[in-house]
Order: sequence, then structure tokens, then C-alpha cells
Amino acid sequence: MLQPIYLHRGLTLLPGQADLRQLLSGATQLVSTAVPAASALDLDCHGSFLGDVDMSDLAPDRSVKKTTERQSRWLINTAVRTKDALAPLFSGAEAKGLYIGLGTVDCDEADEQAFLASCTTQDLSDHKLTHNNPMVGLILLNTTATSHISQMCQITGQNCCFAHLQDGGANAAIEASYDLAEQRTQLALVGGGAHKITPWYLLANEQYWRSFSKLWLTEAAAFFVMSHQPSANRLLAHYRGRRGNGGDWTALIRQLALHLTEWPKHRLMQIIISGGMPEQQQIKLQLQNVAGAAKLIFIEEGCGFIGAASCAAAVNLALELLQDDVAAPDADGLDAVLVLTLGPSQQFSYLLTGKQP
Amino acid sequence: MRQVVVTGVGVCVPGCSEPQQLFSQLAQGQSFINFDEKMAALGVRNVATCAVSKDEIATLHALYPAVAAELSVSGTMAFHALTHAVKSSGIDVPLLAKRCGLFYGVHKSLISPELLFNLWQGYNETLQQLKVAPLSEAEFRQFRPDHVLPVFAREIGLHGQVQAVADACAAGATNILSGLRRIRAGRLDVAICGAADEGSQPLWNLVFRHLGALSSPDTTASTMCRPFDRDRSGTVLADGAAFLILEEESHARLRGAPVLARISGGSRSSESYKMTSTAPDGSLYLQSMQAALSDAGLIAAQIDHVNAHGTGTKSNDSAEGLAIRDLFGAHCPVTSTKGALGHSLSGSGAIEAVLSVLSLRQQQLLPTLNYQCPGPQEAELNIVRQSRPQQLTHILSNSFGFGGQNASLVISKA
Repeated sequence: MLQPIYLHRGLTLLPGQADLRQLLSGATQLVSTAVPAASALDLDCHGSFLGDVDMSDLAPDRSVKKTTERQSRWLINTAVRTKDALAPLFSGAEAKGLYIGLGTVDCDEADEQAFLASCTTQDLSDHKLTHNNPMVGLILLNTTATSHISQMCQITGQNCCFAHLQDGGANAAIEASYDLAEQRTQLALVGGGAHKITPWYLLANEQYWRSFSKLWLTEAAAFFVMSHQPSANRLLAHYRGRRGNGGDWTALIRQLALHLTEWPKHRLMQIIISGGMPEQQQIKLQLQNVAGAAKLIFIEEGCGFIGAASCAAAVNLALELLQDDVAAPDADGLDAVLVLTLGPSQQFSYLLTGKQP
Repeated sequence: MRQVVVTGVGVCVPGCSEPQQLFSQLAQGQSFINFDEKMAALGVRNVATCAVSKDEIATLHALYPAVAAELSVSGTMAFHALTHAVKSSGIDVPLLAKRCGLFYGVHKSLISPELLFNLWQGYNETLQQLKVAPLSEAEFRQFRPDHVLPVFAREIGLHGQVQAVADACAAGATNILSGLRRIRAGRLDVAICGAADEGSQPLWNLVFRHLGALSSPDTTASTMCRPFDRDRSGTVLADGAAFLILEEESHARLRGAPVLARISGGSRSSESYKMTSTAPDGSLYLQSMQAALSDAGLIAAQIDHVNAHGTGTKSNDSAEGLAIRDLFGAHCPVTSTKGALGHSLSGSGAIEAVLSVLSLRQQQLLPTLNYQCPGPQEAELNIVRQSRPQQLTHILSNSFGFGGQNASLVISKA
């Protein structure tokens, strides 16, 4: 018999320690500034930036200090603090897995830029080949942060890192749900991180950014936990599909409608969506036909584009909303929230979570 | 449980772009490793790589003009391997619709010093003059290794899921494992699984040299990578790509597909040990292999051959050697093809899976180049030094990534 899977709320790291729910309600706003490098690509782009995080209280060892930069520190910090906040779950699970959606780390740090401005190609080559930080290779590896998280959280089971933007974060969640359902793991630490907002980030995804009329990028990281240990919120369904080449989201949204009929006991109260730009208006209309009275939330309206962190951030928001709804006096039947992620690789993934029947 | 078989393979390595030809050349003891011209042009001599040439890429571009401008070097090699695998399997990808998925192992692309400089110059100018940087879109796209996926999906008519795994040097194997599991669980009937990397990029050589992982210079490039050998000093980086078509067995047999081999099982795990090395006693590698055996429903005695990760570094080969000896004993034949092909990072797990399939088909072991004897205190293994016929039913293939990302696959005779 299949064991139920439960979701446990973790942490979401946003600039200024902002809370996503408050951002979406308008109670607070993220500070955003123009991204100078974007003008070179004729992109109308604002950014909300994270500073470096202080991990000193986590007592990272020497290898962590030497082989991380701020992007990987956002990820490690959020993962380890999520694990600490949910410590009893971790101690109760023998088989644990780590599933992360990753951006690529680049070497676009301020010092590097200053040096590059002053030299010839030969100077640059000499510099790159002789003076670089010996650890630069490990810093640049996508999986360095994963390894540090594994070590600091003592996770030795299933693991997977996925690229790149929202698809990576969604794939991490879906793969974790498969491993739990197929009993390869008992607990999954799931999350993802946005990329540093740098010229390289803009260049690497330039084709995707062109589909945005206005671009608001935000640096972020988010993690949550899936496990067989009961919580208030169960994973009712998970799905991963992809719209065909040149197609639209219609067929997949119709399929979602069909899937939702399988859970009549759960009143869908929210659909939290990330991604799908620039077609969000069309998606909104189609989802309203499916969702009935459920509220639709596009997280980018509150926090900007947060890439591979978006699925986990949306899950954390969903769990917060469900938790607070416990006290709602007008609750009628059981409630559920759908977290839907639409990615640049045309992926359509969702997690449906609802209260334990 | 649904059984998963391999119905098509494709490879693209410097000097060879056809799987059977590659197998034959490796069996004859050919090395594909040379002194690297890109590094020499930068004034760094005696660095060996297995690097694809500009002429080879031009040939591939001529073969695939529709995608030439859209793909990086590794993406172009991967596209060739993908196309060959799909064609050789005979699958009708559009007809399979959502029952077919694409799984790709990627790594990070490190751009060349010249491009880095030109890029920064471009930005300096544009910040002042609001001029678009004078670099091509294809050059920019190589910053994102997974940029190839929409191109691949479009060109082969794929409508199903796509997934890019970024598990460093284990990615070539872990994406195969993802495909295997989706088919076993009934979510897919076909999984197109592959990986590619451009390990010869100068900055990769730089960073690996700084880590102490590259082999010391020698007078002959072809002898510089010496897996498991006492005198080994490090690895040689490489470019390479490979794809395998995984298919549910009854689905394959019903359509009369060529069934090349069976993927019996595998494992994927994280060591949580150290960033830069594994446990010296090989125990964590042993756990990876044991987990793969358990998943395949086999015991160690049933493994006829190990296709080792065997990078040629002191630490990996020492630990892996101990793990192989402790689990399989000293008699099990062991091969590392990295002595001939170098280490193509993400690509290596997929390439070695293809070579394992072909070993099973041919009932033949491939050699490990440049091996003489193990170091003191190291495991005595049955390292295959010359290709020979061998009765093979089950092969175990290892891929161990930096920072403890481990994957082991069990590939069996069909």
C-alpha cells in the first residue's frame, strides 16, 4: 500500500527578509533598482538584490568557507535553516534525499570586473591561468552547494540537481515526490535558488527575457520538506507535463481540470502559479474556468522572477495559507491549494496539497 | 516490474562519431588524447586533452545546418549522438507523444578567456555608448548548458517531458537512472537519455589544474592518463557526448525494435563526506555499487565486468579500486576507458553506458590503456589491459562526481 506523502513548510529567503504573503497582499514591497547591464541588451529590467548571508552560527567548516560565494551561500543557508527548523523530521527518517533546482554559478564578482577592464587578452589569459583562486573550480561547480548541503544536513540518500530556471525547481519537487512514492526515500529536502543578477545571467537567458515586456528579477532561495511523517497537509497529487513544440497551455489546463475532479472532497481554495510569462493573462483566464471560486496568485506579481526558487517558495506560501485557514470560521469541507509551475522549457508541473482527510 | 531495454545508441567523441567504430578503435588500443592546441595558443604547453577540432564541428554543422547557429560545441556533439540514437532505434518520437521523455545530463560551460575579455569589453563600451555587445547569440547561449533541450525537443518532435540533471560528473549516469525509473513506474514507455560536455575548455583545464586533478605533463600525450596505475598523476579532460534510447521491453518487442541490452538497475546517492574527495577506504563507492546491485536484484558474484569511473587521479582510483576489490573480489575484470578517451565530465557516464552496451553485444572487454601495476597498498585488480572476448551477462558502470554525487548502473545482456 502506498504511504501518504506530507509537505512541511520550510524557509524562503527574499531581499530585505521580505515575506512573500505580505508582498502579494501589498502590505510590503521589495526594493528594486535598474539593472545597468540590461540596457546593453535593450531590456527594461529592474532587480531586487540579496546581500550576502551570515552563516557563522551554522559553523560551516573550512571547505564550505573556501568554496562558496554569495549565490551558493543563499542556497546553503536556506537549506540548513530549513532542516534545523524541521529537525525532528530529519532525525526520524533513515533514508533522506536532497533535490535542488540550480542556477549556474559564474565568476562575475566585482573584483573580477575591475581587473578585466584594465588588461589585454594576453594579460587576461595570464591572469586566468596563473593567479586565479585555486578553489575557483569548486566554487564554479553547480554541485558544490549541493555537496555542502548534503554534508551539513547529513543527507546521504537519493539526490538530484536540476537545471535551470523554474523547470529546475519544479523537477526537484516532482523527482522527490516520485522517490517518496516509489519508496526510495523517506524524507526529501526540496528547494532551489535564483541566480545572481549579473551580466552573465542576462546574457545566458536573453532569449527568454525578450518575451517579457518588463523584467523584474529577484535573488532568492527556498526550501521545504516532503516526508512520510504526518503533517496537516498531504500531497494529494503531482503531475509533470510539457506543452508541445509551438503549442499553448490549453490542453494541459484541460488535463488539470480532469485531474481535479478526482478530489471532490477537497475544495480548491487557491492556485499559486509561477512562471508562464508572458502568457499569464491567457493562463489566468483558462485557469479561472477550471478553478471555479479558487483564488489565483501569480507569485511574480509580489516578488519578481525568482527562477529555480519559485516552486519551493510557492509551496511554502501554500502551506502557510492552509495553516491559517484552519482557524477560518467559514471553512466548508476540506481545503486544498494547487502549486503550478510553468517553465521556460515548456514544462507544466503541479503539486496539489490539502488537509489530511 | 516493467523491464527496460536499450534500443538505440549514439556517440560523438573527438575523432569518432559512430558507436561501433568507436568500440572497434578502443578495442584496438587506440588513444584519442593529444596535446591541446587551445592551451598551447595561450602559452600553456604539454596539456593533454581529448578535444574536438574546429573541422569536426564544421562537419557537424554541415550535417545539421538547421541547428548549427543554435547550439554550443557540446550541444552540437550531443545533437549528433541524439540523432544517431533515435534513428538507430527506429522510434517514432512524435507518435509517442507524452509517453516519451528526454533526459539530459549537463554541467557548467566555462567560457574561453578571449570570450570573457571580449564580453567585458563589449559591456564597457555599451555601458558608455548604449551599443549592443558584438557577440553572437550562440556564443552567449553556451553559458546555459541546458539551452539545447528546446532545440532537441523541436527537432525530434518530442512532446513529452524534458529534464536536465546537473549532477557534475555523475550526470551522464543519473539521467539514465531518471529515465529508467520513469519507465519502470509506468509514466513513460520511452526515455531518451544522454549527456555531453566540453571538458577541453581552457578554463576547465585551469581549474582542474589548480585542484591538482590533471595529470602531470609527459612527453607523450597518449600516456598521460593512467587509470589505476601506480604512476598515475591525474586525469585528462575531454569533450564527448552520448545518447541511449531506453524503452519498456514489451513496447520494444512489439514493434520489432533492435534490443541491444537491458538496464537492470542503478543507484544514485550523495556522500555527505568531503567536497574534494571520497572516503579513502572506498566504502562510500562500495555503498553506491551495492545499492545498484540491490536495485537490479543481483548479487556481486553475478557481475562479469566493471566499467570503472577510473579517472586516473590518485584518490579516485585508489578508493574505487578498494571498493571494487572488496565487493567483487580481485578476479572481476575492470576497465576504465578514460585512459583512451579522457574524462568528459557530464558526458562520461553516458559514453561509458554506451560502451558497456556494446561490450555486451560483442561479448568483448575493452582495454585500460597505460596500466602496468597498482601502487603500494592499493588493490590488486584484474585490470583489462588488452581487449579480449569474454562471456558477459551483467556489467556494472560507475560514475562518481565531485563533491560526492555517486551513480552506478547495472547493464545486462538482452
